[in-house]
Amino acid sequence: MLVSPHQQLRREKFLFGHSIALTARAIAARIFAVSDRQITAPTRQRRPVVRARRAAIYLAHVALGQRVQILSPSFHRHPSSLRRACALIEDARDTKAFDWSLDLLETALRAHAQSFSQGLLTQAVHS
Amino acid sequence: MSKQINVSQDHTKSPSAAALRLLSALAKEGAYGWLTDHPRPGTLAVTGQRNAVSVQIASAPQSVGRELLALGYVHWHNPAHERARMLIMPEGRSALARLTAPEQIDPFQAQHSVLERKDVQVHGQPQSVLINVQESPLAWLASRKSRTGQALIDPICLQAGERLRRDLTAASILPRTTSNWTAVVKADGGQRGLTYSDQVIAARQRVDRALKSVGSDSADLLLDVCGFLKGLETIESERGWPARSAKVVLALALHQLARHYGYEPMPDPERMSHKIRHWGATDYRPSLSGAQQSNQAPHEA
Repeated sequence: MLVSPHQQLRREKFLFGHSIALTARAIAARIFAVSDRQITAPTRQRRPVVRARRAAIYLAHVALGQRVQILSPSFHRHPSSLRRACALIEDARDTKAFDWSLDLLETALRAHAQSFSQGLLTQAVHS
Repeated sequence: MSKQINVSQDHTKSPSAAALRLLSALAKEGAYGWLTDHPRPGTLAVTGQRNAVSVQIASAPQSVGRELLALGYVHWHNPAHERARMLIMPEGRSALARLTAPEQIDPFQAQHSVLERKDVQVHGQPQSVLINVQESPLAWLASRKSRTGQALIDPICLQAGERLRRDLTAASILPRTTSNWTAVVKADGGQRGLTYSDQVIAARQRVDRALKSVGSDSADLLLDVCGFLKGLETIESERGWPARSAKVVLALALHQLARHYGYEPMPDPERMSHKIRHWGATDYRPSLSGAQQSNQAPHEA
């Protein structure tokens, strides 16, 4: 199928964003002890799941700098829901302990993304 | 939803806890407040920057914003616009510094300083103390990190700079514009004005030696930074240097100073000199290891 350069770029951007969302989702699922399927479920789910979902969205958007429009299909949520999740996590960051743990997580995730972004990008584009 | 609320300034009331929270959110770099109908009508949301990503960092009912407006801490930027932005005023910033000042610091002093908790050796014991990092430009530079996470000035340079500053202060050679009230005056009228103690003279000699050893160009810069406590931007504009270049020059000068004080090893004189180390015959070939070289030594003339 013929794809225009513009479409190709969009596709690559999406795939890159999706790979980042996958990483954030996996990490949040592991830390909050929920499953990835619950995080992406179309319904709200129980409270721990909601927390994990918000954390995953926050990490993908704020720590890894992906736009919410790009991330939104990876979380099966509207962009405005993603923004709201980020705002709620920011509010929760007023607690010192949570702030520090999120800082650590952000740093780790950014280091991971930096070393793997090239690999992830090529993987995502060719798969 | 009226955005323009005309109220007279009232400094007698102190803001509520919610207002203080909103004010501290607005004080963050690039933060602004705006009215939104989400999650409920009449919400004041504050958007700020984190990792260069715009995120909503706080939200409060409109009444809290009105309280801050009444105190004169914030103002509406471009109030006629549909999406007017609430920005913090300098008064708000200083009020925030005053209100969040630690107990042991005077609120009005805290307003003019950047306080940070640091570990300091007190009688050989590490102790956590509050330090005003803005007090010395060097300490401020040392507390900032570059993009790679490295401090702009390494600890050795900071120590060297602070040592020079101590000496300069002790030597009391910096010119001053106001009258000096620290003069020692004797009641019997024998000697008037400041007497030079041995300490002052010793400090002057130390300063003299240090500045001579770093050379006149660096000495000039070090005097400005460690003596007159000028910031890097001031130095750049005064000397017509390109922006952000003083950092590099200062680091070089401080390294020279640190070397003078013996904090850093002097460059190896063996490597600096152009002494002939070896004289080989025509068939001589240098080898990689020293052991083989010593074996060959008898063959050489």
